[in-house]
Amino acid sequence: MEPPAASQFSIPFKKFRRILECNNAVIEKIAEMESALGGEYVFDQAFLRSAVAELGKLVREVVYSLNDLSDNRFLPLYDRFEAIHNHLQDLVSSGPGPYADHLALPYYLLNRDLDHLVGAKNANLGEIRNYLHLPTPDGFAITGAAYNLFMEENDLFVQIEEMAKAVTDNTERAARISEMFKAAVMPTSLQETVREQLAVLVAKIGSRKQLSVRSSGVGEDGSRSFAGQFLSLLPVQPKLKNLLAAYQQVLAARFTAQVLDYLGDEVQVRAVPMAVAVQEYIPVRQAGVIYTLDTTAAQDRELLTITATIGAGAELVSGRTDGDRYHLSRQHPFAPVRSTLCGQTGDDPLQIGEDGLRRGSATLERGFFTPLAEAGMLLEKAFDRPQDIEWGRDDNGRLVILQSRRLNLPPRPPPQPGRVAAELRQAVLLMQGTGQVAQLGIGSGPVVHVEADGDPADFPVGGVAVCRYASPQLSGVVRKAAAIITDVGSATGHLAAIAREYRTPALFGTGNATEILNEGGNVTVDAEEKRVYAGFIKGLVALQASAQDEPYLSTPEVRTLRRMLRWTAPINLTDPTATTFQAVNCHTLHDIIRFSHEKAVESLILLHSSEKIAAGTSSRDLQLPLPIRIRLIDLGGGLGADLAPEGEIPRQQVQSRPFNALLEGMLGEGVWDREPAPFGLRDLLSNMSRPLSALTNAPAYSGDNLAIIAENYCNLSLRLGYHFNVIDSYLSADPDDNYIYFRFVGGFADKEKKIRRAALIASILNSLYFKVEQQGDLIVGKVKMLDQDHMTAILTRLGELVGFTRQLDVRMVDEQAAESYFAEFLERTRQPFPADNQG
Amino acid sequence: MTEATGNDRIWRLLVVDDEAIVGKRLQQVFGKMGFVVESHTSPAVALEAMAAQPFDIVVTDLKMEDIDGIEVLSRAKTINPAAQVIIITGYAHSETENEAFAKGVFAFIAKPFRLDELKQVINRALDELRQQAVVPSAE
Repeated sequence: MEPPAASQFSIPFKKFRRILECNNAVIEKIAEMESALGGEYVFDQAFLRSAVAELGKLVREVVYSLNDLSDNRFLPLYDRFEAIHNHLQDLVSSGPGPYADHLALPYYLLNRDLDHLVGAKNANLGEIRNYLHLPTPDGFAITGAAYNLFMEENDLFVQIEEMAKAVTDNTERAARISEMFKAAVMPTSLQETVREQLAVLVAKIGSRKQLSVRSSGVGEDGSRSFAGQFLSLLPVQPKLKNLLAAYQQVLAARFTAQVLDYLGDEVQVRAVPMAVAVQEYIPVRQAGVIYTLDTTAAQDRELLTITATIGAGAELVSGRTDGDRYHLSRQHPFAPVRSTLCGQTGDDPLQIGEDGLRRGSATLERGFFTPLAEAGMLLEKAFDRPQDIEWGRDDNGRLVILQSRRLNLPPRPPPQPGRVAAELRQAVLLMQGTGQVAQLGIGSGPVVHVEADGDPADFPVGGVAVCRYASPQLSGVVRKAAAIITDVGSATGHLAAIAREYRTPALFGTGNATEILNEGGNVTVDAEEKRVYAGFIKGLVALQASAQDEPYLSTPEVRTLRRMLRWTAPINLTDPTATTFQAVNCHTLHDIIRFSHEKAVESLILLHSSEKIAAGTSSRDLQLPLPIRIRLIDLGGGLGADLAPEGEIPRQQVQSRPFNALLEGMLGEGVWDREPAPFGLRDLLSNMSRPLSALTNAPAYSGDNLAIIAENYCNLSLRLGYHFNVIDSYLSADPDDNYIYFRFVGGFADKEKKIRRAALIASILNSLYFKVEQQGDLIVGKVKMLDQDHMTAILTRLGELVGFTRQLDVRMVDEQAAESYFAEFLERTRQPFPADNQG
Repeated sequence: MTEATGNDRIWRLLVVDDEAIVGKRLQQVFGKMGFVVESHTSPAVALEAMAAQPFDIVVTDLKMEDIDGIEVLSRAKTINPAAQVIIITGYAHSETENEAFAKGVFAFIAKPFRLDELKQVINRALDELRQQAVVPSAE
């Protein structure tokens, strides 16, 4: 029968282990969802629903167990969990998801999947700004919900519908609606929200900057483009009154005769809720449009078109002026193929020469084509299809993206399956069937070998990146690449997530891509099939392009999964020492489990090292060849089954893996009595046994050495001299679960010496792969997620260190001796570990 | 390498799933392999398509409104006894499974599945079809 104390302990310990198990299950589920998003699985709604249910159950249990373990120290975590889980449930049941009731949203919160709240213009700019990291104006969105509120509070929906029954002429309707808008009142809550957002924006951009107020209709740029139908006002003074007036004007322009004509006979008053973009107004010296695919070029000669004009591009976009027109190759280095210049030179027209032509009148210099073309191709890849992009060039000559939306192209018939298959049969297959799909898709371009520490600026946009490791440092390359292939790496790593963000087809862990694919050779990568062909396979590329009506990556299920992952996968809480490492700052499920893991370890240690636990526990002494007493409590599996019911526990009955490793080090020959003593130990350790026994026999410390063990676990509280050491470790076959926590404090001698020694210990711990924090003479070292053999070796060294420090404490003859001693210790720890590569 | 063309004719593949995403995905993949792929979210429309021109391989969801995967299986086999039918499903009772096997289902695949899994099954189905095509001509 278990001693009562042990069963008392086993409950928190089981909770702790359960937290670890749940954490792992959550991480696996997230990985599965990410793989599904990358294209590894064919999934459906049922998969999404079960993922939400499963994640909810697991994370709830983690939160519950953590609070149970910690006397409810983390109650706010319940609220965070419920909030996030509600978002997920809403998303998976096709609800509007988070932020649905917000009247305004700052750009830093926006992404492409919020277009149903803020309109595509705002949503795409958010994506471009926050995820693609291209320069865009900062700002905020006034949402479709704000529009609905404005319309409802002023009873405009009903009034307009009533009026439209009586009046059929759109010009007359528009005039009446305009009058209604003039009489309308801005709802107080909306005024207040806009005031707050404006204050934040002005604080960021400065009060001297003006604003642009632009339409961003919800559903605009969808099946109907509404291109040029709505109103933009700029520049607008950054004052609340001016902004609200401009906002109201943009709303009213939703009902011009032109828009009413565009919408057809029905007024459709509730269609296309008018969300609005409020942005920093960026004065531009040049502006224009990029069509990433030239709609007029022949299909076999694919070009990219840039138009450019001096000053703002509004005239150009509205068709009132002709800009220069440049047609470039869509492949790096984007060579110009032809251009049409209109001879516009701003204020000072050039003279006409003798041959009747103007000279040097191109609006753009050639060097600026590259950043424009690169931005264009990046946006086309990220948004799945050719784009129509408004760009500007600010006073510093910097490119700014003002808008990006799908380019409406006549649908292309899909190529005949037989012909594609025939083309593929004849193609030279360079690689097949190896690696994991980190992001599906087809990409074609020249092979460029890259190193993780190379400069992404050197990488040509549209190249196929080939590299040894899927290192997160390659994110700059992934952004620009047509596809990326690595020898080593997995579909659930960090770089895979980045590939999905940029929609870069990615094949990781192929084993030998760097050997097979030669620098500079053109290849076509079909990530889905895990194949790489030599050359440019037209049929494949055409097949991809023909799916443009609704690409797979834009299907509702994929969008839902992507939106779910935004609330699931990212980690915001990375630094446990930061003041922001708090329950209330958990924004994703991953945050919650990361936070809980950290706090569970902390809680367990607090629990096990508290004095009340040691008191009155029924424990047994470990038989040791040393004058030191360690009491053992077994939580299960830590001791042999055939252990005698009473008496000291023989060493060989200890089955706990981490505790055995520690003992191995603590009791090691070299630590105690190696002859001849290495590192000049002889002097230091002479008469060792006497002071040691004196120490451990001292009543103040007797019985304070306590080891709580299980098969995979040990928590050792070791008081020696004035030291109080805690070692807490969990070892299992799964490296993700493994950790060692070491806490060292302790009084000896004067403060200066203590701190010096602490620094020495810290450097030893560092050499043992510990992450070390030192505050005065308190040292906390943690090592995590290494494999079992590695961890065992570290624990053994840690045991040695504990032994050494004890002896130093006993016979601290002089500081110099101690230091040289530690130096020797450091030398020894440089011996290779099994699998000596830090994860 | 998987081939749906080659020396023999072009094979016809039908995907029936009430969620468009499955058909869309499979269309992409099997189109590249040379199949003529049709996908339908309505089983009723899929049955009409079958009646108009038979398919060699049918991949169908099990649980759908109106007409379930078993019904699609029966009809596909009636129209073209050589057709190989693969049922994809999130869950299947053993009774359903037995019934499906009795009616000649070629394989079950559980959702979510890896494309590789489905490709392998379809490859085996193709082998089956080719053998059936060879046997009569040898007689």
